[in-house]
Amino acid sequence: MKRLLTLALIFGSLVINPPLEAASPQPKRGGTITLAVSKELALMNPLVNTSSTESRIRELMFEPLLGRDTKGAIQPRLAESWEVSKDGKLYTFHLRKGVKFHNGKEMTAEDIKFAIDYTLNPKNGAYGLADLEAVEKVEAVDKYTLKISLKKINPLFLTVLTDIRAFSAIPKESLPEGMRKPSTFPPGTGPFKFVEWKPGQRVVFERFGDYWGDKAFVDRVVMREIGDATVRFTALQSGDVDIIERTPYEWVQQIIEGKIKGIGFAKASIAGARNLEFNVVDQPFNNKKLRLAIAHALDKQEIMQAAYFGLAETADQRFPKGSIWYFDVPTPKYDLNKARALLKESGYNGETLELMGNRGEVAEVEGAAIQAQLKKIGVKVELKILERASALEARRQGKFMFKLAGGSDFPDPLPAYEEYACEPDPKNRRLNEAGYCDKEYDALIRKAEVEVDLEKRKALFKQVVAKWLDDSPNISLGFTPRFFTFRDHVKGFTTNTSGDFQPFSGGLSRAWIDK
Amino acid sequence: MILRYVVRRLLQLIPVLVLVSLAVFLLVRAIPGDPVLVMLGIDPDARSRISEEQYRALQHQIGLDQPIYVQYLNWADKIIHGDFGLSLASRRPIFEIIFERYPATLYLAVTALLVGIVIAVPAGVIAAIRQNTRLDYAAMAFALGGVAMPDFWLALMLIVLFSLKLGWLPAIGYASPLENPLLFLQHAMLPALVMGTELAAPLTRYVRAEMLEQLRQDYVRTAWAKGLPARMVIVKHALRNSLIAAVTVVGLQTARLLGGATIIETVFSWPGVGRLLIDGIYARDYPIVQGAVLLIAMTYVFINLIVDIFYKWLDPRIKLE
Repeated sequence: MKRLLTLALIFGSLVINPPLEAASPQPKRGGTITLAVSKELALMNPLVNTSSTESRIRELMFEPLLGRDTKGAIQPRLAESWEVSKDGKLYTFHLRKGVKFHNGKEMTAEDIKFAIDYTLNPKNGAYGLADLEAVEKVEAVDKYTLKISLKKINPLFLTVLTDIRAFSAIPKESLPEGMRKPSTFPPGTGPFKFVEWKPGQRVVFERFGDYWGDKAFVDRVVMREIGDATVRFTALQSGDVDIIERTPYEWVQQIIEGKIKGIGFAKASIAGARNLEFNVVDQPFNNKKLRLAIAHALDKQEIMQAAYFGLAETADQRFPKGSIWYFDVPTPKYDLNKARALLKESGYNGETLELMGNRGEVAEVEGAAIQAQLKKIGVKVELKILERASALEARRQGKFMFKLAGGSDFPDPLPAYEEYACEPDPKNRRLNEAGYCDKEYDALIRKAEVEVDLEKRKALFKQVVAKWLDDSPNISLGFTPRFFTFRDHVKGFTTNTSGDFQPFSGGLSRAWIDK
Repeated sequence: MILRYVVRRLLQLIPVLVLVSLAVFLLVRAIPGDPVLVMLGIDPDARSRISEEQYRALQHQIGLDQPIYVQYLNWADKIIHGDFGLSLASRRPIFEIIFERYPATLYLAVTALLVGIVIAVPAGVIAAIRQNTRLDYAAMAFALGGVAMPDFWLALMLIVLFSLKLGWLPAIGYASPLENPLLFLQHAMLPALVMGTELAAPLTRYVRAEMLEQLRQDYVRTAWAKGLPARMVIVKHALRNSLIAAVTVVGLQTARLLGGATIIETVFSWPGVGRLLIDGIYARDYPIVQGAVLLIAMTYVFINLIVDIFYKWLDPRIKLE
């Protein structure tokens, strides 16, 4: 009987818990996690800074008003609830009570008002200015109630408030006006507080004991900058650090194949995207037929396989299949006969086409694959790999024929497709680096900018995507993952699909050390 | 006499620094790329989301909208008054940023220098007095190998051996010797060994060649003849006179080491000036690059001055003119 019971228990536990869960014991408190990041911290201002390291820090120390869960639905965070007026222009937020800043002070509506006003002041150069420009006025009604009125309807407003880059809560008067450097971080409300920064060496954070949500398991987080990816991975293998970000694909491949032991990974599946963009203003790609010929000549699977060790997925649109923003519309497919026919119609005369890419990425590999594929239909391609800053300038001024480009994932289709709306000056491009400008497309985007109804938005964006694919100013190639790798004693560490920590999906506040 | 010489040399420094400052100022601007965009570009691919007005405002704020000669004169004027300006990325004073990093470079340079001398001088001397023996061949093989070996390759091999396989030493990182000397040595060991080898390789050859030369001189034969002990003859007579050439090599190498070993600092994640310079170039952080290069140039000139004075001490016949 006892044996039977034991068997039943074992069997039961196997059924209930997947094997991985069964192997992981209860989280333990304490210890230090050292994370190697790829860039050095530059500026201790959460509302201004922009590098990836500064984003990691923001996710430890600061919080936005709202959160987004793993499915993309908007959730309460520092604001517990909210109402929207009938005309869609007035938002009332009810703040969570008892939220403490790292300096011990309670967070109130005045603090949130300060942070938004700071962001909206152009003198401060805040990152969120463009995101929050719809805001007309912020009013602290009482200690826990905040009213925000918008200049016009903005279907993205709540989504923006979930983006910690656009907005983080900081205490009133904790940052001076103007672009002066703060000598320390302002206090945040997040699960970790700032301890010290030794430039070139480390940034140290400590568990915040008064955090309102699930408190962190580890006592300390140490960030070290190791710019070179190979050196970063070596430091992980030697045990100098516990977790590293942006692990090169070849190492991940070896971990998967079991050639490297003692190291696990967390995958952010659609952290990046790769695409091929045409300069549609100038010769030769002002010719739509030539663009479509190329679209039909590309074997995306082969390009992704060559450049990402089979770890990336191909893409047709800016959102992956399965997303509510993926639409079933006619898409140029790999078809060499069609490509050849289109090429003939386009009047291509055998000239060499220059393909631009950024140095230090996989553009060389992708570019070589594209070069070989286009050769099959008789198109000559020359690769032009530029250093980051030079490429940026060339893109802005439209000094390229076509280019390999990347991007991050989008929270909503509006920013994803708004990029292709007309811009005034083709020699000084901001978002629309392709220089694409089409009246019909523009009109659709303008409608989408003020539409809040989900079904109507879907219908609008279906037309947008169809038009975008038909004109093909840009060809989506694939979604690229990003990998955190960590030593076996790090447990509970996860990342979301974009490669952020995010409280709903884990990150360093849910990670613990088992040793 | 020496004082007058030093003052004159210091005055000669002025045109050198003017030329260096002009060169770096123009060169860093000759690299394509717009620092305003880099400042705002989040990742290499992020499209700049700012408006034209914001762009112009930022450009004006960092003074990049002025003609290039005005920019140079403004910068030079500030430098004369001891103000190196602010970093574009972090908006902190350049002086503060560089001198935050300088100690790390200095400590590593001194350690590497010691390692290099400790290896090279005995190796060179032994190779010379045991010319054409196995010891000599071994020393020369080391010297040739050391010169030929790329430093980053040696660095990676040492990391693989001592950090990954044996686990004896940390692969990366830094600790201040003033705070924790033992930890400093652990961290400095591998980079110092790489840089020391680089220094020791040519130095061994110089010491050996000069020693061979000196050992053939009459005064050495006399010293042997009058029955001086071998140690006296070799160390006091021959070695001291062989060191002139070595001092030149050491001087030039020291200047190089103090300028920050960019590659080694990057591989070992050492928080020195070399890594700062590389990061500054990538970020188009003009003031950082200008400040760092100017500092490195000054170091070069100063070290050369010190080397010249050192000559005089080694060989009183040399006139400082």
